[in-house]
Amino acid sequence: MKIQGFADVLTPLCAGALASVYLQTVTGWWLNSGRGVAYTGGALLGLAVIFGRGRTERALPVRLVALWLGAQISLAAYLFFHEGGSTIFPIVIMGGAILSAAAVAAGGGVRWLVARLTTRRNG
Amino acid sequence: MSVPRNRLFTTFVVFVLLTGSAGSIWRLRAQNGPAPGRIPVQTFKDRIPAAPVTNGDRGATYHALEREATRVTTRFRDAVAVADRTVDGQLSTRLTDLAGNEMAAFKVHHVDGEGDSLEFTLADRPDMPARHAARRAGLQPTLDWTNEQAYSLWQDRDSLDRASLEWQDTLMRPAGAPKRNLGDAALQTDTEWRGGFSATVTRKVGTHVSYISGRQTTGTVLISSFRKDGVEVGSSQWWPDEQAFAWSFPGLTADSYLTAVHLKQNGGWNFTPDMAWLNTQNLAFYQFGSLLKAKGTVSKNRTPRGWFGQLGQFIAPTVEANDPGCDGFHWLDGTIFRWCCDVHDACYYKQDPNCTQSSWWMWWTSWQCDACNLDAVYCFASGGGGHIYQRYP
Repeated sequence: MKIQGFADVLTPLCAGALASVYLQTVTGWWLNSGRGVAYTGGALLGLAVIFGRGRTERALPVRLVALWLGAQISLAAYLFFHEGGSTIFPIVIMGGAILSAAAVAAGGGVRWLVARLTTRRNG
Repeated sequence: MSVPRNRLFTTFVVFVLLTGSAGSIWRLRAQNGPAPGRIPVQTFKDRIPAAPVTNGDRGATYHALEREATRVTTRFRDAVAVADRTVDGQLSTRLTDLAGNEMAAFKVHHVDGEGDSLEFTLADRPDMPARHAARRAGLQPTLDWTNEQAYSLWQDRDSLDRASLEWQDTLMRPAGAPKRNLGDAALQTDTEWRGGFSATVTRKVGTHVSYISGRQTTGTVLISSFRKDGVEVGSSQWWPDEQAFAWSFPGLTADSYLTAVHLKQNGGWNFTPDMAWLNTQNLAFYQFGSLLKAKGTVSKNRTPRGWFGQLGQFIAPTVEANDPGCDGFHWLDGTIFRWCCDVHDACYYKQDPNCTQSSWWMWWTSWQCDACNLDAVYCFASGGGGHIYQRYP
């Protein structure tokens, strides 16, 4: 059971981290443009929909938080090591955290809604 | 035990990829470090102060924008002055009465980079030869200035044959004449630029919610309307009593305002905004706002460069920790948060030594930098001041 919990966390965490850092290489630092926000936000929303799928509903928030946390870690690293930081970096990181959390929550919500509708139709 | 083998394998692969990615970033940082054996540039301990801004010289950016103007029309209570700029940069003003009869002319002949020759003639005094003078050092002739100078000399016409001329701030006056403030003499100023741009600023008495006290206040206001091909694209206001400047350029920059309080770190307004400045500032809003809208950022060219260019940028990134606007959050540059970032940048620069991003975590090194950071946090938290632009005060 412990291994299952570990995998539930590690996979979305790594996926969030990798997807986020890859998209920065496509659009440039995401919070510098509307295109960047759309791409990264959209990708996190999509990943949240994918990782929202699970055997138990209880694991859903854990996977979503792991996904969001992975994105935050990689984005913060990218901001400092690749962009050279920012004179308002705490505000940047906080703003990015809010935007990415909204995208992940929206994706999780979509997944939860779809699961509910499917269950009701089948049951 | 209950985990399928393929899930464990996927997790392992993802972990390996992430580790590799982090490793490449670490290597990049190492490559960007200073090369051994190179001597770093030493900075001055005492920062060279910025050049003072006066009414005669408002800085390179202002004058670059001003030089784009082709005609400025200033309406005074009893006269109208029309200044034109020729293609070769010569300035000439024709002063008429309200009926359109010519009363005086004033010309700026560009001699060289150091000096200009000024020429004034009165239309109703053909017996009096044209007065010639050299431009005051440091004065940058502008179209609105030639209008004010022509109007001032015309008002001094009775003293011109008797007295020599002297400079009173930016105006040539008969020697010994009492001080004159032409700041309130102009009722309206129209500025025209190439490309179909124009702006009109008028002086009126208006009522609005004060930027200082937050209560309904009545006072003098200069309102400038900026147009492209005759259609208004934005406007700005200057409330002299409050020392407050507000603007609205929908789609280009969000409604916002600036008071002397916001500029406290820079010593407040270091010049007195006037009609010509309002029009020129509007052109700046349009030009820089359009640039921002087109490029998405004012810091770097973010247009797609293809996979090879992206790879190159990843290997050798452009490191910019501080540039105009919201560093790392340029998405907000067209919003009400923009001025939070600009004021924060100015606050950082003002400190000696300059604050850096490390001031956030090394908070014990400078309380002044901490104050800058706290101001920025408060500004963002309060929605950039939460101001609503009142278009018709």
